[in-house]
Amino acid sequence: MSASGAVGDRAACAAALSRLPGMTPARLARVLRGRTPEAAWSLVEEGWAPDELRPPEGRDALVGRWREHASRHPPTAVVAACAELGVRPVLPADLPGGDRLVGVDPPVSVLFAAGDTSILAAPCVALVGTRRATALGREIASVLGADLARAGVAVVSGLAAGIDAAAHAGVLAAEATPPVGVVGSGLDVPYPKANTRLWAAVARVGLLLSEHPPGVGPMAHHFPERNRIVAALSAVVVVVESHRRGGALITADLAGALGRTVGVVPGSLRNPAAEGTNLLLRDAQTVPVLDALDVLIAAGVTSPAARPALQPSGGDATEQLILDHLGEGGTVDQLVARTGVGLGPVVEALDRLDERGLVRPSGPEWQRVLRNSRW
Amino acid sequence: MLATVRSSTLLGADGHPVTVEVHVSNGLPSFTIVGLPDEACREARDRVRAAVLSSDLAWPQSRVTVNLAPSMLRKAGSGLDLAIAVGVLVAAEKLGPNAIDGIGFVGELGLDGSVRAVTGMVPLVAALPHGPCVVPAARVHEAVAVAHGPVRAAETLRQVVACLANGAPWPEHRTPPPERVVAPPDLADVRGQPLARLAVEVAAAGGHHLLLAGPPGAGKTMLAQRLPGVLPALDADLAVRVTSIHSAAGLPIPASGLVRRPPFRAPHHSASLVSMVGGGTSMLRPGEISTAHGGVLFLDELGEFAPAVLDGLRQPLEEGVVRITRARASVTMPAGFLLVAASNPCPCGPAGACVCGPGELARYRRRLSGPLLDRIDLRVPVSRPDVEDLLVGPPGEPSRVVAVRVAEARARALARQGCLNGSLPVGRLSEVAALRPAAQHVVRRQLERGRLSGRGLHRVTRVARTLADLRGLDELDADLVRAALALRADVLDREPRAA
Repeated sequence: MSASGAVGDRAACAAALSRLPGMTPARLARVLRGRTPEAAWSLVEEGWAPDELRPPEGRDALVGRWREHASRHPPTAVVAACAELGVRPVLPADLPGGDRLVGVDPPVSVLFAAGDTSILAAPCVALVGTRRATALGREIASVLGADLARAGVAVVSGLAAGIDAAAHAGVLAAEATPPVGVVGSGLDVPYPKANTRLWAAVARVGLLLSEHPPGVGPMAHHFPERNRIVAALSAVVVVVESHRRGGALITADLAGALGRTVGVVPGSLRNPAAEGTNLLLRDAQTVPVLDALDVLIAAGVTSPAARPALQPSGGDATEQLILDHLGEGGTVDQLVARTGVGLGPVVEALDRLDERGLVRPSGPEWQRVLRNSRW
Repeated sequence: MLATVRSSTLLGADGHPVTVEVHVSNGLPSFTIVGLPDEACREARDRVRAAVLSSDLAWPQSRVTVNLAPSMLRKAGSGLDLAIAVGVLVAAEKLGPNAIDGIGFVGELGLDGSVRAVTGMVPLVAALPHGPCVVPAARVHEAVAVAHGPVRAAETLRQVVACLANGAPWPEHRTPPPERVVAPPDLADVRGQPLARLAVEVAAAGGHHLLLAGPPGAGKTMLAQRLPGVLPALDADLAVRVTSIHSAAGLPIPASGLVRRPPFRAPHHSASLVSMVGGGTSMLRPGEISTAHGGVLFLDELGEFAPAVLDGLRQPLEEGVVRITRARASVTMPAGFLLVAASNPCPCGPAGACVCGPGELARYRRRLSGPLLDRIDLRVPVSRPDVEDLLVGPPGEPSRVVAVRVAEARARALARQGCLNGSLPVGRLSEVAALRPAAQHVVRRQLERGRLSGRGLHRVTRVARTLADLRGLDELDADLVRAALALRADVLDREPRAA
């Protein structure tokens, strides 16, 4: 048996093992318990499976299928096939800060990577949340992502729709510290399809990780498994928006169990997409997150002393009146009705506030600018 | 013997003169019509013969040939019946040729000899040569305004023959009962919503197309319906043109004979391409965009219209006319309308509680955006009126006050540049709508932030010019440009831009 020297025999064998039929992260951990990947591979090639495995088709059948599969897909071929897709297998121990993945259940035995693994040496923060996010939630995720990237943090996310995608879009737009995406399918199977470009961009400037070999499609149970890696890699896991039930809450639970800090962005009581996050704030040990500085302090990147005192906003009475009445946004007509100031002065004040970067148009409405509004 | 009778036929919004030649000669009794008649026109054979016999007149027991000249022109509909019948009677020497000299005839015949109205009386009568015309009694009022001579009412073929042959008196003109006068909706009904009101005023003053976007119940339709009320009445030429189009399209014509108020057309979003731009049967009927000529075309639920229908609006929006081309004929019809479109911010309706998926939302926006939206100067968010404004707020400014400002602004624009600001060519903007330095500062920031394109700048400048005309100002200062920018909100984009 031989394997490519560039990747290392261990990673190649682990990758080949992960491709065996019926293999799961838990089974792979069983296979590798007390054995090196090379040793496990040799056993499989000769016809072996761990005694504990009780597949429905019978152990003998499984052993036969594994042996047959192993003869057709040796580690060298697996590595070469991955390389063609720009993917390489890595062992957690070989990643910068790979010890973060120790103690995860089930253990992470091998990862497939596309992009630059050295990004993991930066402080990592996960931004997670619901796929059915509100526009405001997506905006918050995007702004937090961009601010954290500018502060030198590698933003980790699951590249799902909604909050995940918005966070990474913000990171990419900031063109600062690149993002890390951890996904629940093979790296050549973008899911959801709408995020295909985002995947490519993350792989190009940042790092894409998956536990699954190329070609594996997204399965429902992959995502909770993916979440344990997201949580484990990150010093802080920030939940931006989550419904009462949601994958983001699973990630928060896993993060808590691993001793990571869980940050939560509070939301409106009327917003169903903030119900889960608000419950987390009330019922779990979490840190409220109002801006990126809160996250940086929780991650230990910045000291609490860095927070500047609140600045008076300046500007004239009309401008202040508009800021006070803007709430979660409003059209010009709504602002005229709320403030009692005429159309002309409202339009003029909005323009001046816009010039100072305090408000901005978002579709039909004017909204407060979130970014850096407090630090 | 040969008889020649004047009549006309309809193609698109225009009438075309037709000469009906009838030849009666010896031979096997027969009745043929040549000269490119359409199906309804060919059926005239049976109607005319029955009408003549019902009127106790003898049908010639000879060979009757009717030629409709010019023979290249397709003759549509039943409006030539009366002319054919009169022609047959003259050719059969039942009527003297002098009796019909220089007279035009338009009307359909019933089997009992009654003279019935046809669609398009106004353009048909306008196309008749100088001299008296005989038209169905029920539509005399439509003919009076455009006729080139005295208008004679025809009730039955028998009566027409009696009047022509024996000089019996023509029946009195029947004036239709005056329509119930319905006061047009007034802007005073709109409470609050100052920006939306301003948009309606600017649209009327500058001829700027308008998109109203907002949740259901915000008052988009209410605002749109009040736009014609602040437009000036149609001038004499335009009134005749609009009346012709409405007549050709079969719309009711007011008792006065002329459409004087700007029309308001609001086709349902299930409208087909042909019903919208015109075409159809052999006479190529005017579509909604032509019947809205000189007035307002209101498209509620813009996103629900078929994409092909919306695409079909582009050329008329650009040129003010629509060219319909078919294998047999092509016509150009006026389509100078003010487009007012209304749209929900997303397919599911109310903003804020949107349950649309991102794909659904993207599809909806894609359908709305693009070339059509590019031609719309004013895009205004309409939010539900404030509760206090609705309950205790003062009534808004009434339409008649706004209409005065609109008329003055239009007069200023026409005196300065010969066209409304909405159709001001780009090349003339710097000459008649130069921005002062403070105004330039405002738009420069929008351009730098990528919120305004070059084309958008032109549109904002035109709108600012109209705002200045409404206030009687010459110079375009910062506050006008700010207001113009507020009237061009990115109303369909509810996604936060990338940070």
